[in-house]
Amino acid sequence: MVFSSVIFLCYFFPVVLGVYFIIPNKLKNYWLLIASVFFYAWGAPKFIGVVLTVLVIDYYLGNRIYTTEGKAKKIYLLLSIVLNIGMLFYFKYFNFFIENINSLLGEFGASPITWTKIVLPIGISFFVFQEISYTVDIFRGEHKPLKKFSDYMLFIFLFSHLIAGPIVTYNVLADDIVDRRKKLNSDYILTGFFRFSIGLARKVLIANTLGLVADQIFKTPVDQLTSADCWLGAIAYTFQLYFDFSGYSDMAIGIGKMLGFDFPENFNSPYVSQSITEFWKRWHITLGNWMRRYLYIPLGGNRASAGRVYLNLWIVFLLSGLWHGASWTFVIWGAYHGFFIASERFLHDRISFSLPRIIKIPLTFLIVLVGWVFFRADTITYSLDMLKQMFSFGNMTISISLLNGFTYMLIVAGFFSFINAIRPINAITLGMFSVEGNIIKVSLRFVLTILLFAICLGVVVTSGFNPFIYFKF
Amino acid sequence: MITRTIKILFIATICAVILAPAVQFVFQYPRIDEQYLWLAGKTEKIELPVFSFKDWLEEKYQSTVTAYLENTIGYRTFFIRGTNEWHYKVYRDVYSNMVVGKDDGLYWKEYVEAYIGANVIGYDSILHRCQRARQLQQKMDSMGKKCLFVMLPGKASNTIETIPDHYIWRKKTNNYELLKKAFTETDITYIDLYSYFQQIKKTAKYPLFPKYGTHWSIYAGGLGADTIIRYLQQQWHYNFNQYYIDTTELSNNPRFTDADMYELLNIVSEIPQPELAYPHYVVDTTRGKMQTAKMLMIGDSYMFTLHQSGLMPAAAGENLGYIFYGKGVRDHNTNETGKKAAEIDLAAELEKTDVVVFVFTEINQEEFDFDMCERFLKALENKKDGTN
Repeated sequence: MVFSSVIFLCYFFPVVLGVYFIIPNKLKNYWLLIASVFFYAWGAPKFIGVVLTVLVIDYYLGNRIYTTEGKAKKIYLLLSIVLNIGMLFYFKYFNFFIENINSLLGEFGASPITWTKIVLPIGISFFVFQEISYTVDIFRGEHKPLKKFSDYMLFIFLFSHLIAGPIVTYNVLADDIVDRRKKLNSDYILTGFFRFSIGLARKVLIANTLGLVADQIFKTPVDQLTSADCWLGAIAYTFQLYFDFSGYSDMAIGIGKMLGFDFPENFNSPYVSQSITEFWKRWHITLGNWMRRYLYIPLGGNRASAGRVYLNLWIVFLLSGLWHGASWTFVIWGAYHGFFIASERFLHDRISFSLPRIIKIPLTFLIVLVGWVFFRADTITYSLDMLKQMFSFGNMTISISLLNGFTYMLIVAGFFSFINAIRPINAITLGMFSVEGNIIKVSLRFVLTILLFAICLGVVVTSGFNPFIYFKF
Repeated sequence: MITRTIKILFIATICAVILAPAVQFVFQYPRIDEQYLWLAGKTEKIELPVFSFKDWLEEKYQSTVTAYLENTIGYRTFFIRGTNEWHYKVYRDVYSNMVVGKDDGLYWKEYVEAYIGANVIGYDSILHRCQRARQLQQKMDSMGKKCLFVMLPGKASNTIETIPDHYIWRKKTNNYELLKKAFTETDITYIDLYSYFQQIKKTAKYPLFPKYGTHWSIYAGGLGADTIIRYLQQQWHYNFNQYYIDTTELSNNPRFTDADMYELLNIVSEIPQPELAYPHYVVDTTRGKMQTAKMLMIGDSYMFTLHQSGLMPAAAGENLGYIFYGKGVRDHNTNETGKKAAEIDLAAELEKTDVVVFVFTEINQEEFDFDMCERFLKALENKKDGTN
């Protein structure tokens, strides 16, 4: 069940929210939990049992970590990490692992290992990270474990961030899980709805439109594409990914707000970054934070030797790449970013001059765009061929048909991606979603949001309508 | 300063907006008149499934319920028409398989892509098909019968001036150009209405292609049918009824498929329809009843405009049969029998036919005979061997 669907917008969410505000406070968490389990079981019915089992074990381990000391405490933590990483490896990476082993065996003429392909449970990458954050934060003494198992389940399963983030760590959400009565008010509901509608528009109006062209180009063999087509595909995907992901995050944050939760921000105009280092402070912020807290710092962080710091950075980004998907293209993408991060760190201490902003921003954007080609392509060969075609600047005529809506949305996407480079507005501030201010401003914001919601609902309903006139056998 | 009351009012409005579609579907309130619930075009009807645990586990139940709720959501037709109106008027886009012309006219994308050569499969493939077609012509000659191929005009190739420029810029060699070359090389007997209509479009008395229709106009269909009949009469001395135009009605109410694409737009506003001509052909009975040639026509949907013009039935009378795309058979009075071409005895069909006419427009040029030449030749071969 996706947020941008009729079933979610018109049935699931109104019912969940409606009941949520009617029932007494002490029942709200239970209701959200029931709704969240239903939400997950709707999309992944076969895995609900496995996931619930792991949650039971993790909850028990969290309690054991809290009540023990010394070596036993560490062992319980290790068990939790191994259990979660093991589950992630098995469901997400085992197919990839076997495919590569078989490739290697093939090189030596040996027969391949036969196995049944494992299906990936949705959201596993996100909730594994949340489970790890729970036990580690308890281990570090930052928070006590949740008293009720149902509350723990809610922390992991809450439908708003379960499938696609943001990655909400335990230390961020712990207090809200237990008591958020002060946040169950009209301000939160309105701010949340504004945010949700903006996110829905980013996804449905912008990302989905750009995605049609990006998908069309990336599924065409490179030798049938001109240089301009390849550039168009890369640019379309660059914006599609941003508006899709940030749109989804906005919706998740908006839903959380309406329910009284304060989720962390996940995007902050990443394409106005002046370096890759800055890019990762603006793109998928919660992933960056998680990696820093639970991987980079335990590896030594900034306190290690210079060489070790560069290696740690590179390892973190390599694993970030792999986290996104079980494919060498993701690994290359991660290593690519790791290289730039480490290089910027290396050069930062050694070079005193700085390029002007007007060069740094497009240069950083170009580096990121090239990385997205690896991220999107199915194979490394395709991505290299595409990049070769792009930078040959050969035939610069667009050979594919473009809907006019695409052109408009590309302009809109570009505008909203780069506007913060022109005016120094901090997009993370909730000013644009705020209910404070004079009545005219807020009323206007409200009317525009309702209109936006209705337009998006119209597009969602229409997208499922594909009539035909004639049967053509 | 926003008071709490105003905030509550905002929230109530949000709830009303979000709940309105579901409430309308579940409680049928407010009631919507039937006329506003209609959308043009065929879509799959989906019923609410019965729950089964097995279907739940396999996610079949969920996908069917999702589709059902999407198809039945309240105010659906308003959402669709409103969105399509915006797309058509502002974006000048509609469905991904439609192209909006510079004059707001409509094309199916495949027609435009056929004109610009985006669907070319290669000369060798076309040549091979032409060779088989020529074999059929020669075989039928030996049987005392005739076979004719007719290149029909296409909407895209005939209205290039209104096709968006970014398509025109991409034009390369198309199937028509390859087919023309292959027809010449294999010495096939054919009529080229494709280029003929391009020549006459500026001098034609009435529009040859409707702005919002898939096919050529009824008037153009009549011109095309007239050309075919006269060719058969003059070249091969086949008998057909004499006919003439009794009246020509000019109308802004499109008939048959003259506005099929407009209907499919499913927009809010009504667009004035251009005037089209509908000649009324009648048989000239002063010359007595004629024994007309038995004609079998095989073609795509442009073929039916030949019939809808009224000229074909007037000229050929009852001795007229159609095979649609080489698959669906219509009897000589064009009442659909539901028969499939695969079910009929093709050799016997050829036996009772005097002339076979293949007609095809630009989207079908690469498979202009709908594989029927191969099937006819095989059927005749089998009959000769007694392996029917």
